[in-house]
Amino acid sequence: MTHKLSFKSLSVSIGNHRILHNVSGNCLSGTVTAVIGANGAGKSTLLKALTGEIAYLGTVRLGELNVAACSPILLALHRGVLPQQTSLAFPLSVDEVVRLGQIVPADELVLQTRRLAALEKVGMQAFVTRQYHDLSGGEQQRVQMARVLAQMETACDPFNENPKWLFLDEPVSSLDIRHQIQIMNIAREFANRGGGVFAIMHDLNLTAHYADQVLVLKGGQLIASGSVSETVESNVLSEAYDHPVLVNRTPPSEVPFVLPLASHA
Amino acid sequence: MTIGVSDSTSHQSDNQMGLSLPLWSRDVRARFAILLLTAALAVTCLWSLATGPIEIPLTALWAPNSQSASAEAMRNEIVLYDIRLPRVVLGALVGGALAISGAVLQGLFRNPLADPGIVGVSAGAGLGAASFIVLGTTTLAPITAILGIYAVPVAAFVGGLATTYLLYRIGTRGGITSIATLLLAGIALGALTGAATGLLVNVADDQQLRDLNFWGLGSLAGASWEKILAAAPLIGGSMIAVLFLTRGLNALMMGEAAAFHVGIKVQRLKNIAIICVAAATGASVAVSGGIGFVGIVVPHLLRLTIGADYRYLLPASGLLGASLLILADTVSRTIVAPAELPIGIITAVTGAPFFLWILLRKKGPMGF
Repeated sequence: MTHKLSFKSLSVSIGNHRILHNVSGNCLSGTVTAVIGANGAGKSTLLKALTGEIAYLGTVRLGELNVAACSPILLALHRGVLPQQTSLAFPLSVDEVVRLGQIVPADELVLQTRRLAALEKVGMQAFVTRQYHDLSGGEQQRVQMARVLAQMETACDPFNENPKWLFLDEPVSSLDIRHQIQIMNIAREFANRGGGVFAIMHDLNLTAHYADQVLVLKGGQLIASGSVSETVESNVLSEAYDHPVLVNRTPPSEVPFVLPLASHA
Repeated sequence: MTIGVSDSTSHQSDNQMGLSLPLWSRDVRARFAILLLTAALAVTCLWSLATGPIEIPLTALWAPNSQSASAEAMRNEIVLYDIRLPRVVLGALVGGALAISGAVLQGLFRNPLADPGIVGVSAGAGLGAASFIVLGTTTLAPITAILGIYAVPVAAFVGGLATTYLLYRIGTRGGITSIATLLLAGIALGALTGAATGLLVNVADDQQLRDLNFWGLGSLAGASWEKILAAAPLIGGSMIAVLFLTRGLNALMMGEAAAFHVGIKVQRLKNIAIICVAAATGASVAVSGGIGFVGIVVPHLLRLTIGADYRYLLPASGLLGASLLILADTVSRTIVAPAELPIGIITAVTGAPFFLWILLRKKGPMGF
């Protein structure tokens, strides 16, 4: 059963500054939605509004839920959020960090097995007893991904058939190529299992590979949305980034690849 | 004991078997530490009861009303039950409250250097209490009439709450608490409350001056059952309340947004934590004056040994704080016997170098 993340006439202002202006859209569970746009286009603000973190005008519905009216715990049972980066105020072990995602109490042995499984998914199981502080930025990001997966795993679903949603804020920005692919594969698999994925992306080539739907933001407004072939396209991207962009196709898969033009060329 | 942390994926099954051990042992270690600290507290209490200008054999603790109604036995009983026991109980309450308050404030401000004494909460509580010591029988008499023995602790609580709240408001912009702003604001508020306390000193009479002076450095010398009765409800209530905040405080280590995303009502968590810290610190300051550094040293030591998980950190802080303060108090009343050193001197002499050591050791994310 598909399930929709829908937002209507969404506006967000901070002070007198309007960051998002009248943005509407739908994302389906079982698909990966990528949001692209230049710095300051309002991508993070859109994600914060959709996850209920900040106040907004308009409506956001996560399936049956009216996000603005939900308690934090109800939201946490239905969606997980991976921030751009997470620093800890105090030293915790990797296992303890993943444990922070386990919001529903259960037998400790069960929880522990799930934590290990989540860490294994991101290839960090060997780090389970290590201190989070000692890890590199990319490793920390993967541990956080495991933490979010553990949250989705333990979340019992009061609406039974409703899928979970994964919100990723630039999930691969600090990762090497192999781990970029690994994290995007996890997101893809999450969607294939019926979950919804909403990801802010900077890497347009990864976006072209993994996204089912792309939302293009510019200056707080949605300037384009649709499939990869409709959006990852020279005119749209050049407009979005105010910079000439060439889009080509990789011969074997017909997936577009993107080459920004160097201005001195 | 094999701790098989293999980085090879070909040994996954071994890996999981091997890993379950250290994971469990971490929890086990924390629980064991709490047990050990409980035992240490019991030993410290007994030692403190037996130690002093008059040596009282520990057997007297168990058989105080034995048939020998000798003068010595009666004297021992008075010393034990009216002088030393209240001191030990008060020391445990105050030490536990200060250590737990420190741990909670550090979680709230996401910084290991937060402490009721350093961020000015104690100063605010001191002003509240000082106003009742000096004006309690005159200007503030109507309130004293209503609150009775609770007037001074409640005033200290209100003073502590007001300064904590102000500091939090000043130090937090856009959901981010700046520790530099916080410490500077703490200094400013400390100066203000100090000035106000100075005014009170000006109008105080001799007895009040003596009472106020005892505050400057802190002391448990005035311990009495009445004081315990006045402080225990505020301290006990808030300490029990913070034990329910452990999940939230753990999540808050990742920042407020991430805590919200895992289902924490962050604003409510902060409100409850601030009220609890103000109540516990206020009541402690009201009965023992400003005793510094317990709130920094104890949680920091414990984070180094049992880890930062608040489920274990809070109870362990309470136990270790109680033991250390009883220990410091026993030293303070025996080291220059029959005279007494204010306990604040002992905690400062041992705590301040420790504080500097943290500063030097932890430059970067943990410090500033």
